[in-house]
Amino acid sequence: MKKHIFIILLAALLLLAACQPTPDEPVVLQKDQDLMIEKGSATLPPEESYTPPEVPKRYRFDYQDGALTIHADAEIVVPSVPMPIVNVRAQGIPQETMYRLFAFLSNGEKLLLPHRRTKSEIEEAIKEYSEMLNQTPPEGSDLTQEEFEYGLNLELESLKEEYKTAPDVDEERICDGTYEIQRSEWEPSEYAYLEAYGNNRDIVVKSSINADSQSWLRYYRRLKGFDAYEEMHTVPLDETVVLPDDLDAVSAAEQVQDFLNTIGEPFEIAAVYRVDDAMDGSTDGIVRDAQHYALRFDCRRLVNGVPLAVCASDSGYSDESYTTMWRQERLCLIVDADGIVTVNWLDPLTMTETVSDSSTLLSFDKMTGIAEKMLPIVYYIPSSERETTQEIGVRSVRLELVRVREQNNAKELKGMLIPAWVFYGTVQLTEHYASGEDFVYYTTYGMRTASPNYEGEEIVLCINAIDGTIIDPMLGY
Amino acid sequence: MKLYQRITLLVSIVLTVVILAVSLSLLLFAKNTILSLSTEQVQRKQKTLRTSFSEMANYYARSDDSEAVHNSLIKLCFNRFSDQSSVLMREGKPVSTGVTIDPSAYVGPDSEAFSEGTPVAVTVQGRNLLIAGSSASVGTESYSVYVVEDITDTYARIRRMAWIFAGVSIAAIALGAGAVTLLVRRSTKPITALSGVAKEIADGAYEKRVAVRTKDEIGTLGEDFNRMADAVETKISELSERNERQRLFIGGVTHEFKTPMTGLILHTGLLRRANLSEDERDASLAHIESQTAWLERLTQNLLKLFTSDEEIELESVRIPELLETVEEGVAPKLKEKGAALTVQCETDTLVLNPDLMHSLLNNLIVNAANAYDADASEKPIVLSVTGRTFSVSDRGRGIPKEVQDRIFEPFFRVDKSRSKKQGGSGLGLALVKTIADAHGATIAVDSEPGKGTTVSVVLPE
Repeated sequence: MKKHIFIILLAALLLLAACQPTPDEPVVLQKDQDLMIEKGSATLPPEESYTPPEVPKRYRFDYQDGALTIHADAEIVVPSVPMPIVNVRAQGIPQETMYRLFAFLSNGEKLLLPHRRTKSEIEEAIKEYSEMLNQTPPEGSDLTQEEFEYGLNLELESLKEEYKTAPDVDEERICDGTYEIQRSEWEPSEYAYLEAYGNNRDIVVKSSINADSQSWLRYYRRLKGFDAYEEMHTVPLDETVVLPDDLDAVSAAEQVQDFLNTIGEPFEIAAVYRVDDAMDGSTDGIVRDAQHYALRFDCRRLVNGVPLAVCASDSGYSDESYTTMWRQERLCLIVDADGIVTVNWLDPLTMTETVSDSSTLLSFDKMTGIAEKMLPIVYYIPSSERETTQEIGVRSVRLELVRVREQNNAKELKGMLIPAWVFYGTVQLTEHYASGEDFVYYTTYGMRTASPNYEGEEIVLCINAIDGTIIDPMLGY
Repeated sequence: MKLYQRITLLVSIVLTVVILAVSLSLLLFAKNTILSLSTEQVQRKQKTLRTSFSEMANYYARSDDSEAVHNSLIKLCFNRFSDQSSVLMREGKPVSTGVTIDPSAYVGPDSEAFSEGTPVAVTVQGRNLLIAGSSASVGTESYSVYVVEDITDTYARIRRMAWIFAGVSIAAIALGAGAVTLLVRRSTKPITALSGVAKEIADGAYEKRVAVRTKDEIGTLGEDFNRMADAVETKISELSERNERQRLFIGGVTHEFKTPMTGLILHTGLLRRANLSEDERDASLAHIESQTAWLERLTQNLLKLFTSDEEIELESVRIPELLETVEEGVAPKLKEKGAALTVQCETDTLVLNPDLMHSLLNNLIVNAANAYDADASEKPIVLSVTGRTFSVSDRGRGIPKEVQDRIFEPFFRVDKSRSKKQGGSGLGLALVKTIADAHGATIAVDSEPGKGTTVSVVLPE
């Protein structure tokens, strides 16, 4: 009897076990990027010097198809140095760099770390939350009792954790630029964090340690009389744009350059804009003349002397919900008459390896053939949306470096800088309503720019200079 | 092996087989369903990708596009609909791919799966993949569109599910076996109790019964057992009673033979040895005849009395004559004891069984004679009949108060040693009681140690 049971059990186990076929050695394909690198990598003989690609003086192209109008009358900018391919990762801002930047931005002002609640303050909070556990969710809240209690319990857990290291008495903690290592349920792993507040300025920095989450540095100087210069009317600075007397572009640029120098890595000013608080009625119907002015400096990294492409918007998206979003690196400073007002540095890059010092590039003609074919396709408006018209204006075509991300790596922010022809211009969408009213806004790759009052340039099209593939800079490939 | 263990084992085996069969079936069904869903999903994805890519590429492609433009267009159209699991190949070479393995090595362009776009399951370096591919034409060019979906997590979930099924099955089997053990033990407990009571009854505790608490087959068995035990107890009681009666009969007969045998032996001895006159010989022979006839009748009466439920035969008897017969019968014994009998009769006739009454009075008189010590100077015994009352009195040693209730029990002797010496079996007064009961008479004993005893038998009206 026992023998029969044993046999039955053994048979069951064998059936239950997921019998896997013997794994084979994989037959490997080269990924797109590897193919591209192979195609683009070139080793210049020592006796030859790099010759930039031949380009015309200007690039002109027109296209019209009813709803879509494309007009290109663009300058062409090509670096005089070879175009590298460089592996990068979003490593955040190193501590040493942070110390320098902190000293620069704090400008001698004592900045304090956020107030840490004392033990008695936390006890009060714990008591308050504990009492709330017996209550119903606040009126107007759509939380269920369960959700309400869950949230309170989470908060209580956090308070109890905070209590362990809470000071007995209120203490003033001066920030010296040192990161704190933190963890959060919303982040994949620990990260470095800095938060400091002063009477006149604040600095908040998040720096990814494992290149698996976004990093950023934000600096704000307190303004008098209004909130911020972001979302304000923005126009490229040229000789026609008037500045108030107390706002000097040269001096402002020097301040920006000082900041860039403090970083310790090669950066340059890419574009300058005048920012003001004039309103034309397109936002909330408010119309007013400008009263406050500042200068906005879009900066860009240089790699081996080659600039990175500049995204005017700090937007981004990922193609799948489980892929960590990774924006193109963006460094933007706003300077007013009193000095640097804001610094916004998003997703700083760390160079890890130079794959190729000099890439073999498609010719300009081949590239424009691709652009002229692809622009109408990329900006195609379906017939069902013919109440919308698009006007694309291309003002410059630049050979720059664009960051693409590593394929099949949803979690880590790793990629490479590759040469790309970047078409800068404007994409204006006009929605025509049956009432005869039109609504105009600017977009970047179908996404509205952060500022509806922005009159500067955006990336209109991005073409891989090695294999001619269209790159979506928002997506990263 | 005990019954409950056998039943438990049998049920456990059946339970194991059934649960395992059901679990395996469910697991296989779930696995097949999940994999089937995954396969369908991948097939749909590949088909959508192929169709969308092909439509868009064919829409935009022009025969005069340069190679660079065409390649860029193909990639744009493919990337518009693809994701990290998509692969576009042409002439065996990748055009756009986010995966590291070559899907054409597993789903070749010449295979049936490729022509039908049917996903194929493969395992590569421990990863479970579903690869679906089919061709897409763009102009005159033929491309292979693949989807390489990693379903390792799905397999891991299936494996987890299998372990959960295994765990649940084992738990169910264990619980089931445990429950069955408890139930069966509980059910067979009455049988064990039954067995115990049967042993007790076998050991002589005939009054023991099992407690019947259920109305099922076990309860019915218990009731039947109790009925059987009742029958056995009754039978044993009857048999014991019959045995007792036979003992009493044999004992009674033996006992009763003693007195007349004394006379018979005496008279036959006289007839043989002595020179008797004709009259003396006739008298002895008559005595022998009457005693033997009396003994025969007595035997029959005793047989009837002890072994059957028939009522004794009563007749109207002249008491003086009865007493005379008694006196005559008991004379040798009294002579031997040196006791003197005085008979007083005030009653003429009574309805009774003369032989049995003769025996009754005989026993009372002999007991009275035995009540005196051997060296007593006088041993008077009085036999009187007044109305319906027969009394026999003596002035012997008397009967202690504490045993007066027991003197009529069969084989009971007040003083065993003395009775044995005198040849007493303890049946005399038991016979007296039995005969009195048979007549419906009552017996009264008036005795005081050292002063004597009077036993009275009162016949009913």
